Amino acid sequence: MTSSISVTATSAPPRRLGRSAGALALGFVAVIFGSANVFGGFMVTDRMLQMFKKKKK
Amino acid sequence: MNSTIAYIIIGGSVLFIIGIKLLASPKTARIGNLVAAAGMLVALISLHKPTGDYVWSQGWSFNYTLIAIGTVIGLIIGAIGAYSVKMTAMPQMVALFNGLGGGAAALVASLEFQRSAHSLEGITAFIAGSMLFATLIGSLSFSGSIIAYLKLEGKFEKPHTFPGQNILNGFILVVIIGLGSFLTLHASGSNATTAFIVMFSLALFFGIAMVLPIGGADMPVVISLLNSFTGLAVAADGFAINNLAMVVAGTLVGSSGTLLTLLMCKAMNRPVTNVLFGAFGSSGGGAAAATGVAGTVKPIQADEVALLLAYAQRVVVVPGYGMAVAQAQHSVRELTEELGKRGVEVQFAIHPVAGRMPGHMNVLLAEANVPYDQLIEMEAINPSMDRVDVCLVIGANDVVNPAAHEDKSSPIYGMPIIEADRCKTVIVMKRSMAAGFAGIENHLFYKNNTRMLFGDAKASLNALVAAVKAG
Repeated sequence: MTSSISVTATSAPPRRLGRSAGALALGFVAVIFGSANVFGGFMVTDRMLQMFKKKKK
Repeated sequence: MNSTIAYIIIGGSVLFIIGIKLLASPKTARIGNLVAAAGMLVALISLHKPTGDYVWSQGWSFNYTLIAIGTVIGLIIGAIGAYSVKMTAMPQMVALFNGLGGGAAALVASLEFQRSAHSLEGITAFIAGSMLFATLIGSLSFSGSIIAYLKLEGKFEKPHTFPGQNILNGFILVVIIGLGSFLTLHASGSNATTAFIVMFSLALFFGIAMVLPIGGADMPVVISLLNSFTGLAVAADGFAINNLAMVVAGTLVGSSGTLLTLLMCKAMNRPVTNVLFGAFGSSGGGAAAATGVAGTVKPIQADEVALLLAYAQRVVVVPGYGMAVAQAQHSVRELTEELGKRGVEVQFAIHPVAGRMPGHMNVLLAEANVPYDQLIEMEAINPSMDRVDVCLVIGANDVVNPAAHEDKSSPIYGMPIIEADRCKTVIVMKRSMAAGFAGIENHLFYKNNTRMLFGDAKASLNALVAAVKAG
């Protein structure tokens, strides 16, 4: 088993103009969540993985 | 479907798969992550093309301003979270990001459900089912991940249990499934909106109720499971809004999360149902403690340990969650370097569920610049434990407890462990004699070849480094 940490949970933001302000607001929140998940997930994974590259000696 | 978009999506999917393949080896992992990120970018770009017949379900229109603002806010939140988090707080951050993904998937599905249920063309049972499934699993993953985050932050680390908990949870699940089935068939009925809101709230509550009783050593399993839930929710979303990129990405996350969950459960020799419903440590611990353990605990001083280490041929370090808590990874590296200079062969024995997230120990030790080839998996190191002169157990407890082999009444009986007790001398670094997460007495502490080095792991290690240097 090689431990690979993949936190690349994904979700694509929804793009639709809702009929009501409520739907629009929730869609907006979904975009923020999805974007934070995608960008944050890849960045945090990269930060963890970059520590594996340095070999001592 | 517009063929250009289909090709773009296939290209993105291929990048995902190549990326995951590269993640399997530490040498190529970082590139693999970047390749997968490129795949995500390709998939996102394909979504920004609103033309093409069936890429979107009907009635979609775009508010690019809001999308751009939301994406940038998310990017900022993600970047701040990813780059400000301390290495020791990594499990929480992973849980939080995963929860956000689940929340997004649930929101997309609920909004689409509400819109298409009241649209003129109506909704088929299959599409309604996909949307409801995504809503359920996504919101469960959202609230469950928030609880996991709070637990890992140390807000309520102890498992919370009460009598009848599983019955209550089972009842809630039945109600959720009932409401889901009703809504699948009567999506646009007069009570549909109310039923939907009740189902959504119950799913959120169920996520909380599911994760609350779980704690400590089971957290990596829960995080991996919630991760696979988020993936499944995204895949169901993809079916619901006819978006292939989401189906592919969601399925990849869902299946890899499920495999990892099962792998970790196998490493603990417990079925996944036991992790979810077995709430370790509250009742089982008392019974195990009552059986009592023969022998006495033998303390040792740092300078004696330093002497043992300095004249050993082979030393194995077994790190655990306690090392993370004490932030002792840098001191460990310093000690192993000093020993290396003296010609001592040093290795780290990594248990699959050590720490609080999958790969926790690997990440911490990598942060402290421990060479990756010094980290040895449990199965690989166990056969040669007889030939180890000194085994240094730092903040690990249950994963080295020989009760897993010896005591049939122990809750961890049958769990594969790192067989530290077979080494010539075992040094256990520990703050006190308190039991580990599982609440079980550790037989290892009472063995004839075991010595206890009490105190803060970091302070003890620094004392050892100084003593080895001087000697």
